[in-house]
Parts: sequence; C-alpha cells; structure tokens
Amino acid sequence: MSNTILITGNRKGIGRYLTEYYLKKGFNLVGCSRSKSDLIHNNYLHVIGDVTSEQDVKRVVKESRNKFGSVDVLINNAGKASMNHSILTPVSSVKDLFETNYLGTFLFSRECSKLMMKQKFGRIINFSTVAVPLNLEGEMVYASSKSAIETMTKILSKEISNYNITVNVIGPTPIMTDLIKVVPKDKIEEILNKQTLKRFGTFEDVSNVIDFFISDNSSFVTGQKIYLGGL
Amino acid sequence: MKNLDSDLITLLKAFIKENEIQVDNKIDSNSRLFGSNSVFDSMELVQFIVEVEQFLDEEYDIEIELTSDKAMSRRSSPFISLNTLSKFIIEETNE
Repeated sequence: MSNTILITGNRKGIGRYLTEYYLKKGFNLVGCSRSKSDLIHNNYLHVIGDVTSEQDVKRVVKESRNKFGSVDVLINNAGKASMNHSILTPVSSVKDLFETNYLGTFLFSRECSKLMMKQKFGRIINFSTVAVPLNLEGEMVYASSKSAIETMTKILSKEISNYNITVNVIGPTPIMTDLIKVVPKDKIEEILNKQTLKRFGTFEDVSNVIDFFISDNSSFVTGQKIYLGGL
Repeated sequence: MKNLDSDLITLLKAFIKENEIQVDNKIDSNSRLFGSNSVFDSMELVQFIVEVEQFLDEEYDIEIELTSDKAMSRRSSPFISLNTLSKFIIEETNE
C-alpha cells in the first residue's frame, strides 16, 4: 500500500539518509526543505518550502499529489534544536522552535491526513527525542516542543484511526548530525551515559524503527513511541 | 461557480453512497450537515469538508480553507446545510 513517502527537512542529515534509503527500496519520494537539494532521481521530487508556512505546506502536499497521486507515508523529520538555560532563553528562540518542530509537524500531518483519509490508508511518523524522558537541563524549550509532538501523536492517532491511518513517534538518541553541533560535548556525554546503551545512534537505527512503523503489517500499531538507546 | 449548488448536491450524494451512509430524507440544498437531523456524524462531516475543499481545488481551481478561523468563529456556522455552505464559499471567493 505504501508507495509515496514525503519527508520534511530532507536536504541533509537523517532526512537525506532516509530519502536515499527509501528511494533504493523503490518508493516514490517527495522531499521538502527551505533550499534546493542536489539529489536527482527519477522517483524523486524536491519542493522548496517552509514547514512553518501554511501556504507552503499546502503547496508541497498538492505538488506531491500532482506528481505521484498521493502521499502514503509522511515522515515529519524537519526540526530545530537549541540549548539554553530557561532564564536566558529569548522569546524568539521559543517561537522559532515551536513553529518549526510543533507547528510544522501539525501542518504537514493535517494536510497529508486529508489525502490519507480519502484513500483510507496512511502512515505518519513524527520525531521526538530522548531529551523528553530525560528532562535534560538546558533543553527545556526543545524538549517541550517535542513533548507536545508526542501528545499530538497520541491524540491524532485516535482522531484518524477510522481511516486506517497510523501515527507513531520515534525518539532518537543523539546522532552525529548538524542538529547536535550546537550542543556542548560534555552535555552529549551526559546524555549518552544516561542511556541503557551508551553510544550515539545511527541513521540505520532510525530507519529500522520507521521500517517497522510503515510496514503494511503494522496496521495495529498506532499512537506509540519508541525511544532508541534503551530509555 | 454558477453550478456550485448542484455540484455540492452531487458531491454529497456521491459521498453518502461511497461511505454507505444511511439517509432517510431526500438530499437537497437544505439537507442538514450537522446537528440532530444531519445526514452524517461529526467525523463524516470532517471528511466531507475535506472532499469539498479538494473538489473546489480540482474543479474550480479555488484554494479555500473551509475550516479557517473566520468560518469557525461565525455566529451562524457555514456547515448547517449545503445552502449555507454554498453561500459561504461564494462569499469567501468574492473577497
């Protein structure tokens, strides 16, 4: 049933890896980022768009439908991280993180759900973080925005369950990407030490969980979160 | 948009048929879309609104947000009947 996958924030990092990974598996892929992608493939469409713009999100989904007929799987990968003591956190930073992480996930989920409801099939994968269960100092805003995504996942999964659409969330550990460049080394070490399995996550760890969530055999799995690293 | 009323009736009939919804009364522009005498339940209404948005986009090239703040905050809901929905769509597209 899953033919077309839409991945947000896929110009680099995990999003880029997942794009190439699922193209190799034979899926049609739609990617979305704020700037151009150098990825060229017959089954790939890149749409420039900002996940925080309702108009852009509608356009990305419409272009996906025009090119491939539908969106079967949505991977809400686009995200931003920021570390700061709560007392020193500027309002602009709070707005920025919530708009990209939460609003972006909401807008894409809403627009793709509309297509999925009609075809009575869909898989939505959201991204959280191990910073949520760890309640890490210095990550209040980032973890809060991801915690909101976990709640969104739970409630949305109920609201659209009648349409054979599942909504699940993965919570990766730190992975060597641009996202954690802003996090001090000692802080990363602290996180790794709190994991049951004390190592960085890999892109393959992430795709393994997503493979499970999007499988046709996972139609009975919804509203679930899986943290990597044993949390 | 001159056929909007009849288009909406056709769309609603097709929607009812496709989703095997039991309807006792005749479908016309006064058919209730929500409330105690409505033709479908709340989730079916959500799905129908999505269908109308897609229909307007595909057939009339009109991108409209039927669940906008404006629609939701009106004293009189545009989703009472096909008639009120049609009026709301025309109002929105004429702005």
